[in-house]
Amino acid sequence: MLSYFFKRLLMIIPTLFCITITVFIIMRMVPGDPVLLAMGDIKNPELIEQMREQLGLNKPIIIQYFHWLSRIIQLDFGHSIITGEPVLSAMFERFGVTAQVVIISVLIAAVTAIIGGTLAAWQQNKAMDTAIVTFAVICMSIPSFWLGIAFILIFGVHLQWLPTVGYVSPLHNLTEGIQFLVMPIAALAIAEMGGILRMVRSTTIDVLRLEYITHARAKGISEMTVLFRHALKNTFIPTLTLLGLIMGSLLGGAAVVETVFTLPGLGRLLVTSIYGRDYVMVQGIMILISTSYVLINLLIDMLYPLFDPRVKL
Amino acid sequence: MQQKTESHMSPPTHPLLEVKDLSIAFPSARFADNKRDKSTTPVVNRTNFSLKSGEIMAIVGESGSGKTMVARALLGLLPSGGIISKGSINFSGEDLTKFDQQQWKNIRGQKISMIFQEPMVSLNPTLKIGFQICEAMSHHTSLPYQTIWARAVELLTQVKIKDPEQCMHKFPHEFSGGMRQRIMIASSLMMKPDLLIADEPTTALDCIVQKEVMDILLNTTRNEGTAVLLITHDLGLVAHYASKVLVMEKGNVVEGGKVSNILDKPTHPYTRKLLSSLPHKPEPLEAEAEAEAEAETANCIVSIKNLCVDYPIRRQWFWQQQQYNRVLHNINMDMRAGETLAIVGESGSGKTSLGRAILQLVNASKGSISVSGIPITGENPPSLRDMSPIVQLIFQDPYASLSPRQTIGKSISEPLLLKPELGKDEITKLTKQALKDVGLPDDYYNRYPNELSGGQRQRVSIARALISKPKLIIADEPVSALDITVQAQILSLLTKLKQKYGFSCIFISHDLSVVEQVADRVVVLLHGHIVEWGSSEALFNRPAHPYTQKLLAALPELQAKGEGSYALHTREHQHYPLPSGYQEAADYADAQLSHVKLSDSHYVACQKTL
Amino acid sequence: MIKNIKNMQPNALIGYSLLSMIIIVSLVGAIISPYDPVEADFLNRFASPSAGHWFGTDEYGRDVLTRILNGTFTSLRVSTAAVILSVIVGVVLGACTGYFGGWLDRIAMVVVDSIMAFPGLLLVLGIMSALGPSELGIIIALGIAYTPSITRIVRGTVFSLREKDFVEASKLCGNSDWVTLFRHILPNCITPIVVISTSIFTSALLSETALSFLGLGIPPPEPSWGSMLADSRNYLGLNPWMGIFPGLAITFTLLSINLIGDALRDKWDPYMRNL
Repeated sequence: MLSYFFKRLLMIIPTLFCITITVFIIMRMVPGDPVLLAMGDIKNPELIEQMREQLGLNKPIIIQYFHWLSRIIQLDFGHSIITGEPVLSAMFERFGVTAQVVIISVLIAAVTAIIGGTLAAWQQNKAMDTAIVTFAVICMSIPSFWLGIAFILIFGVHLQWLPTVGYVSPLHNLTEGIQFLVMPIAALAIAEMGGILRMVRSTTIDVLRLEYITHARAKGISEMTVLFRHALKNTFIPTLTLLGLIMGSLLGGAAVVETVFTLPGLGRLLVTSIYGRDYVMVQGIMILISTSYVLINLLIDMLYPLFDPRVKL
Repeated sequence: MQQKTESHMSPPTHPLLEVKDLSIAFPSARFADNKRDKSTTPVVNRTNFSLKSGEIMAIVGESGSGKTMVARALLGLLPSGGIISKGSINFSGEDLTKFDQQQWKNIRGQKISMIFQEPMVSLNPTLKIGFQICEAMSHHTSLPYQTIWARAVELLTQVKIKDPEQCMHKFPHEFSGGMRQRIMIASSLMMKPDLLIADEPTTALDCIVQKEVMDILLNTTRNEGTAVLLITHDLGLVAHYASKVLVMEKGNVVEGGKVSNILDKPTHPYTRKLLSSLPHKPEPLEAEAEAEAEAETANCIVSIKNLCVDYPIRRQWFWQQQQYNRVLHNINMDMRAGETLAIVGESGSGKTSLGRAILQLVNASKGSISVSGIPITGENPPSLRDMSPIVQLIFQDPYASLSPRQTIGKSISEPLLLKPELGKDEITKLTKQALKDVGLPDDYYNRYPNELSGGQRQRVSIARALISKPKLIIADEPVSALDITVQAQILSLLTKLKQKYGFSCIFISHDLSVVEQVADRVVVLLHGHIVEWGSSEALFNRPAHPYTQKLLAALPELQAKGEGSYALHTREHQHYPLPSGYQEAADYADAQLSHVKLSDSHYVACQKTL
Repeated sequence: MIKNIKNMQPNALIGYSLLSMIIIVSLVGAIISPYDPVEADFLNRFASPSAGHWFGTDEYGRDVLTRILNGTFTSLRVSTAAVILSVIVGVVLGACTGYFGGWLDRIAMVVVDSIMAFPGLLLVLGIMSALGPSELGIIIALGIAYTPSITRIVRGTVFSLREKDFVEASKLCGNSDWVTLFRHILPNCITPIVVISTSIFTSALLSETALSFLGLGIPPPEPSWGSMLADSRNYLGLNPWMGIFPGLAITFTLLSINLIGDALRDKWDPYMRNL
């Protein structure tokens, strides 16, 4: 078991390495002098030279990279150009909000999709199936941010049931906090549900065609047991992979939903940093989000042996 | 359980199962090319048969005969879209065609049980064996789990599984195909069903394992008093194990009755065709012909010396040293030009690797191979392009050997494209000639593989192999995936073409009856070692190695007795002992075998006794 | 041709007809519309849908319908270009790594994995933040972001096809590796590539819309769905129609492509299974 874990851990190290290289390259792609960008509006030439020394920009680019990398590894992400606050703490403040929204949306979407997909596969080509599939396709075609805007329009502006801007942490005040989160989570969950549902449905259809399912039926077991005890365990593995991917795309796309609902999350911070040319912050957020994504996938990898005894430990 | 003993004591007056006029159709089926078939051709048409308690009956037919559909209908497990359009199935007084889901749940697993063809996919890979075996019983009865568990262990012992208690805690992927099939047998007999339906239970297994599984199946069902309905395409199995038989062709029952009667006097033309398609022994060679064959020893088309082939084992960590698994040990073989040499073995014996090594598709780690005088191992071996006009391959799977997106004509003519001296017209002419040779009409030139049947595709494969007029053709299980009647056609086609073009043929197969029909000489492989080789006549009549003897004993044979009647024939297996001072190797992994000459055309390889 | 249409699944039928309608309408409509998508008309701001303006007008008085038609064309154009870019690069990379393996494969996979390590929009946002909003920038960014998916699919398919009998047969004929790859393997990859291209296309459309929404995509004043949605946010109370119609346009376009993708997948499913 341990060797499986270590092997997987070792395999992500080159990936993490490449993430840092990619971010470094992107940031160097920004046209203009990095120092002037870092310093913003200060025009004193002596200070600029000092900064240049400090940032090590006189040295070859490879040295700059390793210099920067060593600081990242020590968790020194620098300071925001706009606000001056340390990037790391700024990110972590916002991380909680984004995490809440993303994790809950994925859970809701996953549970609904697994149940819906399994039922649809079971009733393949009959009325229930067609209805569920149509629902899934429509969900997949609606952009999450438009759904968010529509929700704001209906529930916020017209019916005035829910607040349209702002955020209160549910950890401080549960009932108030939930009000702010209902719409963004609903928008994200509904938009992602479709894709997962279709995947669960097609995997379940595949599994239901396999002989051990016919065999289970031949033993006289009830259909529900066949579906949920025999079939589900086998469809879970590809679904699990997909969940990892979805969570990833949500982490990336949270930017848009957070902007719509003005939630103080990581995504919105990224967007405002891009507007403000705060490249230090942008770098930090990109590394944080992609590293989280890699770790989430690692976690999912670790869960495989639980579901598939054929996976060699 | 008490009821069963009662029914044993008083023999039943009416049959356990009575099927009358059964018709199955797929009225709204869509076919492969997305056209809806207007006429609802029944897949099974008006089938009648009956089965008494404890009786063993077989339904035999080729693919498309409808036999599997009948089996499925008996458990209400027709694939979606299928319905029973007519007829009745009377089981213990109830009509199964009128059952609803609840009634089916009571019958399935309890009164009627089924085992399937592919043991590799019949068990859920994510659930433990013990759980799967006990599931049905715990679902249907309210017996305590320990009782159910104990019965499972008892049945596992009956099917000869070692350490049955351990087995219950393991997962399916830890067992081989034969063992999984035995587990399936145990599982289906848990609730002492009245009827066990076995749908091609041994088709996916090696022949020695086949015999073991069938013997176990019949013994356990005899002990429990279960009637058996055996669905198969193998007439040999039918003759050996069944008392009654039903012959089906394209959905219709063409003949039915007692096995001995049908074999003795088959009346329907299809039954006769099936029986005559069985591989048969060729006419024994005249003495002169044999002498001539001997004289050509010098003319070797393939010469293999001390060949070893290793396959790399997957490494855990990339810094570990690469380990290898030896699949062929010290193979020494000479093949005369113009003969048909059969390489026989079960799965894992290395026969496929041997064929691939001669074709240079697999690298030899040690030893040498030379084909038609050209050494193909060692430094500077010739390229595949150079060897292509000399040696060609016919593949086993007719469905995978042709590129789906190329027309037949293009596939056949492909080997010729690398000959710049041939013009386009010349190539077309040669391709059409090849089509004619294999008995396919000219207009097949522009068709695609998915429009052809398995047998036709195999003919195309043969045409492709022949078109460059190679000196040696390696046929890797060329008929294993085909129906019996088609098999007979392809074998006779190969023989005819060999006579016409005079190529040598290496015939790789696990089916000894086919080998007996076509081969001049035979080589037997076991775990990567050659254990016996010699002329076909010597090997089949005086098998020396215990493994060869086991292989032959597992072959239930039907022999023609003249005037269109057949009978089951068991080979006279006089025990031919190994020469004194020698024994069979205990462990073949590193065994050093010595060759012992039994006669000019018969050798056996075994270990010296210490 | 008629026979093909009759035999088509309802999915496909709706999808194809919807998509063609959208394409034709947006092209034709954009040309024949009497209104200019960019020029302002301050007399007619925030009009509700009416005979003169079927979808109403926006905060500058511009006809929403015309803007949507132009925007549709732009989005489709950008997404198609991105998909074509990623397919070309992905097929070349996937075929070579899948067939030849070795160190080329290992290096390529590390690069591909590192691009895939950036979830969803993140990489695209990063690249756009460096390049600034522009049409070419979006195409390149999206192309880079989707190349890994295509590479993986092609690589996987080539991998499984490599072992097939007919590929061995081609080698035994004496064909070189390149001939085998082009004549036998790649034609059998077309199906999975087309299927995944439809889902990449929808993804690209969504991403481009999201980028434009955030102001990092198609630069204004050129109309695009995303920027129209972004603008509408400020005026939701005043004129909700500004937000509804662009959203509907996106949804219907995505719907049609999803339906087509579904139908293709259904049609080719038994074929792809055998790969």
